[in-house]
Amino acid sequence: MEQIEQAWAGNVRMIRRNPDLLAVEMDGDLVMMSVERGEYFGVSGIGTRIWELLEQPHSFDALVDTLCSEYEVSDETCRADAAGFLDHLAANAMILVE
Amino acid sequence: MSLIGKVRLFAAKPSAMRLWFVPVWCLLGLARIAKSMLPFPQIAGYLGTTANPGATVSATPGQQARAARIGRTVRMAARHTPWTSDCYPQALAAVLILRLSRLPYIVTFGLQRDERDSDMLAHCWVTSGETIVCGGAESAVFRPVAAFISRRHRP
Repeated sequence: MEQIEQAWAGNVRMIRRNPDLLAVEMDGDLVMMSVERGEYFGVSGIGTRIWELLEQPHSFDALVDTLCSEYEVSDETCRADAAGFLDHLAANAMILVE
Repeated sequence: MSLIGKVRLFAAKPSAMRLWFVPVWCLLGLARIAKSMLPFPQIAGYLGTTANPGATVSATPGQQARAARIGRTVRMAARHTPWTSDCYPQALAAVLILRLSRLPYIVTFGLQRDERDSDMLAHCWVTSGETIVCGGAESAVFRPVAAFISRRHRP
């Protein structure tokens, strides 16, 4: 977990969501289809807020700062959870890191 | 229905539909193969240009009538394949014929939450104007998440 965090934390590059993916709301979650993969993805909970924020480019730190201010969660937990979530997104070509 | 019954039913259909039946039947088989062998981005490119989910394409009444006939043939052929030709191969087959016929169409992919296990159910359907070509029987309950429009008719 720490290693994953390090990979994101040390990264000052900007993260934004893949503009080709259109997410639609379904029962409070977001669902979308990845044309690249021919697969469907669902995002729920804090992930929907992260997805919303990533419409604009964010550095990892800026993203975590915003989340920590909005959610009652420790900085450590927030960083770890966000890093894990971003890993999933990156693995499925759902975010661009530039 | 017995085999004889099916053959009689088939013989009673308009001759144009019967003419198309074999090619469409073959197309459904090809679609099944394409589905498993081709990467989806390639299939997506074949389907058309990306459009907003839930978008519609305008089609004249004449175009819609032709699209409807194509849809009936595809759906009928799908009932006669020894394998299951569900919404996706039907859409692939329908798109090919619609493209050859230069008819406007949109292919929409949608999702629905499965009540039983909170899993996601996926479906796809093809429309031309207000006419449903295939996959339409259940399309109303699915939430569109992606759509592809015929290239020559994109806005």
